[in-house]
Formats: sequence, structure tokens, C-alpha cells
Amino acid sequence: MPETAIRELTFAQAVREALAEEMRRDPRVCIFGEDVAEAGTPFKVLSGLVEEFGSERVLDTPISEAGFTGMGVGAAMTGLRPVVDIMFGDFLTLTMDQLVNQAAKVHYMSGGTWKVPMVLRTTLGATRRSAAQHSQSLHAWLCHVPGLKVAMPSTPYDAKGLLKTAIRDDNPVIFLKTR
Amino acid sequence: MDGQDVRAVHAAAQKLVSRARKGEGPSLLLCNTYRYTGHHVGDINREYYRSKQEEQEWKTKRDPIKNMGEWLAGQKLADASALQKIENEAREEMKAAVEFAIAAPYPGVEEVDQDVYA
Repeated sequence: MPETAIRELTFAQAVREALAEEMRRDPRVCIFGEDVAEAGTPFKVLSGLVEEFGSERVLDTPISEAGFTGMGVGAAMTGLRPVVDIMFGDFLTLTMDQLVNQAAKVHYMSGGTWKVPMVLRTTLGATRRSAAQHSQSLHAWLCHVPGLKVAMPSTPYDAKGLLKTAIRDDNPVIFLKTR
Repeated sequence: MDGQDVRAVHAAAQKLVSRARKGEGPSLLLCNTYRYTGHHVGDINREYYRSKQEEQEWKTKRDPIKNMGEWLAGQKLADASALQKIENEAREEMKAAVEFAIAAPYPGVEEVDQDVYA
């Protein structure tokens, strides 16, 4: 009987593995966001990715969530499969026009012609005691927008699978991780 | 630039489109133009923000279609009857589109989630 190798991964390791595997599989997959490249995010979730895939595919953006989320929507509409990284889910407030009025609606408004295969990856939730602007639980907002899909894994196993599925999905998917 | 000048807009746009197609990046072309009617159907009396005289001047002196037609006629590239024919055809096409839309049935409830997700 072959032994089944059981691995123990943290949430962050599962997310990084999912991204790395998808980026190796599909050259259209790329990452945009603040401090995603050399810094690997403040939480070190993306450590090592810029070294493997280069700074064209793991792209540090200026501090403008509305700007780089819009860039992600446009990139998704024109052939890439971006994973947009929003450092704290509280900053989703800055991306709402791009997400709600643009990404979620363009497939419907174009009669099914345009697609936005974009993932927006972020963290949400109270409990880290990061003060009022970094501690909100805004999950329900996103679930009220037709055209967006919302994924919220509860284990590292689910996180890896759901993130890979989200990247391969032709719709805008918000991938939430609890802080 | 003057967005009412068809030939100038066309020349500028061609230059910028060819630049973009060569991979030299996007451009921003700012065309100043004018909205003849209101922002919405209820915006009828617009005198509190612009005069009727101003609207008239844009319609009679700066209309891009009218001015382009005059230029074509001046260059002997089109005569009045050819221009009139184009206008009539466009009006007919729009009229038919409006009639089609008014006569079309309301969508069925089964279409409520059509194209919401890919």
C-alpha cells in the first residue's frame, strides 16, 4: 500500500502554492497590488513569487486601489487573468465603482460579449485589533452584487482549491481570507 | 481641440491610433463639443445655466455634420442631393429603430439573470 503523504500547510502557504501553480500553468495569470513583489505583501503571503515570475507578472502598483483595480478589470477584459491584491479588505470601499459598476456589470451590459476573469484577493474581518479602518467585516456587501462571485475558504485545503478555481473562472471573483 | 471639426478630429485620431498600434502607448484626445439638448428629458428650460442664443449658435454655426457637408459641397466632393439622401437614410434608420423598440415586447422573467454570469 502506498502511503498517502499528508502535508500540513498554513493558509498563507496554501494561497502561495495556488498562485504559483496557476502562474506556472497559465502565462496570462499575473498579480497587481501594493507591496506584492519584493515585499511579498506585509503578511509575506506572496514571498518568492516575484523571484520566480518576474516583476512584469508580479507588479507593484502605486497606492491607488481604484486605479489598479480598474487596471485589473481592463486587463481581464483584454486577455489576462489578473489577481488583484487589496492589502486590507477595508480598502474595498475605494474599489467599489470598478468592482460593482464595471467588473460585475460589463458581461450583462454587453449581452454576454465581454468577460472579466479577475480575482480580487483580500483579507477581511475584525479580531486583529487593527483599529477602526482595518477591522471591518464587510463580507455581506459583496454578496449583494449580482455579477460578482464571493469565495471564503475556512481551511488552507479549501483556500488552495478555491483560489485555483477562482483564477480559472470567467467571472470576477472576490477571494476573502479572514484576518 | 475643436471636437466639432470632423476633419481635424479624424486627422488627430488617425495619428494617435497609429501611434497606439505601433505599441507606443495610449493617448488622450480632448475634443470640446456641445450637448444640444438637456441632460435628461425633463431638462427643458436650460436658461438658468446657458442661453438659448448660445445653443442656437452651436446648432447653426458649429454643427459638425452641417459644417462637414458644406466643406464637401465646397470641394465639389458631394452635391446637395447626395447629402440630403444620406440624411434621409439616417433619419429613416433611426425612426425604424425607435418603432422597433416601442413595438418590442417586454423581456420575460426568465431573462432576469441572463448574462449576469459568464
